[in-house]
Amino acid sequence: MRASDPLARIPYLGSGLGYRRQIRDAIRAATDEIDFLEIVTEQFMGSTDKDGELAEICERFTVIPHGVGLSIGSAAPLDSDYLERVRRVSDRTGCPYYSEHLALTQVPGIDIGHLSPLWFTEPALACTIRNVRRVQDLLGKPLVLENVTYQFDIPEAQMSQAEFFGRLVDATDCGILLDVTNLHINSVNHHFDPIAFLAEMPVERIVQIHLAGGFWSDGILVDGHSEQVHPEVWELLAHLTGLVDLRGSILEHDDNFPDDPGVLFQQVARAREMISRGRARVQA
Amino acid sequence: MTTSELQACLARLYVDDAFRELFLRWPEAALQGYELDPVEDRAVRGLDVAALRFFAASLRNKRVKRFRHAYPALFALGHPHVDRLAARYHQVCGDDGRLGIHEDILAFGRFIERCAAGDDILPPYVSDLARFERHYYAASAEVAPAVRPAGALDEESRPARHPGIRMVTFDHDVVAIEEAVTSGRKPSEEASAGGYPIVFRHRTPDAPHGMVRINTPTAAVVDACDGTRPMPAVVDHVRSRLGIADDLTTPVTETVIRLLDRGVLTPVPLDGSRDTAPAEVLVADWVHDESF
Ligand SMILES: [Fe+2]
Repeated sequence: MRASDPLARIPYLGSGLGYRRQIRDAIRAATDEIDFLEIVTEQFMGSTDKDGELAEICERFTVIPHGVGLSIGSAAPLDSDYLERVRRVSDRTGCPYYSEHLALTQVPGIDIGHLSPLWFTEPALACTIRNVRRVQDLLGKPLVLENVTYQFDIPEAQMSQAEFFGRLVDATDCGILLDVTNLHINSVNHHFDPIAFLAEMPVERIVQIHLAGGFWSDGILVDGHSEQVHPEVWELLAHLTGLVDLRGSILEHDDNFPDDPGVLFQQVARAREMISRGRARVQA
Repeated sequence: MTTSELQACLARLYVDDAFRELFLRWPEAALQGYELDPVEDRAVRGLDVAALRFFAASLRNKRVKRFRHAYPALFALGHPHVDRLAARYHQVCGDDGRLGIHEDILAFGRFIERCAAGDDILPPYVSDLARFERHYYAASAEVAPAVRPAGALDEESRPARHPGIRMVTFDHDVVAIEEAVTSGRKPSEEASAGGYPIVFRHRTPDAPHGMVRINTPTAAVVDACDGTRPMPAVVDHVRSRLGIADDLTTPVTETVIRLLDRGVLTPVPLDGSRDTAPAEVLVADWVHDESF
């Protein structure tokens, strides 16, 4: 990492949890268990009445906003109103970076309502580079993009996802949020070796990770964010922490909440253990 | 080439069932609406059909799940036509992103209300039930300014509804219907000519949302208090609404005072206060308060 690299200025954040209102009280009381929080940007950009809630969480925790509706791979220009609202949340949290997904969620006239995969081609890469630059210029901080799960590849790709990521980060200096669970799920559903995938990825640009648990549906492993982190995901994380100095880990849990939130905090603690041990090794 | 046409085509394949089926049966007809180069054309035609369908179904389920959450009694009816209408809404009222989740949930309710009112497939109370759940959902999700302590009534008073207060009159006893449906009993299909007025209170920064059934005379008082009428005119309005010749000054004044105490009315319209803050969704905070 170069000294001028914007990612170099990102501090160590530790291990945290995705903020969900269903477990708001447990989170509020867990300042010892949670190093930082990730909020879903869109939940805080509708109206000013969420400002109080946001201010309150920001007072207790370092907060990283994580968006779902940017559609960074869109050929159509990004929505300026949306970007302004993102900037407002980004500014209010004072986050060192902003995170989103390497995905398509919108085209003119259609909101897909979910993250859909990009076509890994030269023209799509050019659009994505243009969009990433625009977001980083507007926010004045690095954009960190997450690998998503996908049900299918779009055929006739000109490069692999790893190469797409590599060329994107080279061109824009953006970072990567590696969702370790998404990587595991994709490797299962699409029959590839996740370690080999990481070997192709620009892992030195990975700033943060996501961990979560999914479930099986019709022979497909789904990223439900509803179960405990899979053993295979912990193994993958162990491998990853040997490669890169991770700045943070977020456990994503959105559904099927355990009666005892301690179940979540134990996983947060396990991730903290692993990434801090990995840091010591990588830095040595 | 920016791939914009490919993206537009893919997005439509994900969300539009009829277009996807046309594409699978007659790709030339579907793709003639898009300017795809030969590589893009091969990419679309090479998509994994089963995975495409799985993805499309997951998008529909994700959207309908929100409706189930906001309209629990409607879906608790277990009527196949409700599921059919939900699937139809997903198709006919595609989401272009400008609506937002909250408005989408409200628009779904209005769609069901209109469909159910005009068909003889669903029981007659279903339109009312959807309307009731729409208002209850809105009360839970839209934030109103905090209730201000009411001052005393005087000559200057022009009582008005407090911001975040909505009164809606239903043909059916929707509260009883909702209770019956969610506890698995068969609801009464009877309607009442006088209607069943309900006051909904939107949540505020420091209080949860709620609703309360009121009687017809109280509804006439709430209706009269629109912020333009001084108290004598409120009394007159109530008299004519109820068709009563007697002087109603005392009971109407007492009712207004009670409604002021409960935060339903304010002595004068609150300047600069909007009805509710701009909407945002708080599905997770769904609480079924029976009264406030
Ligand atoms: Fe994730």
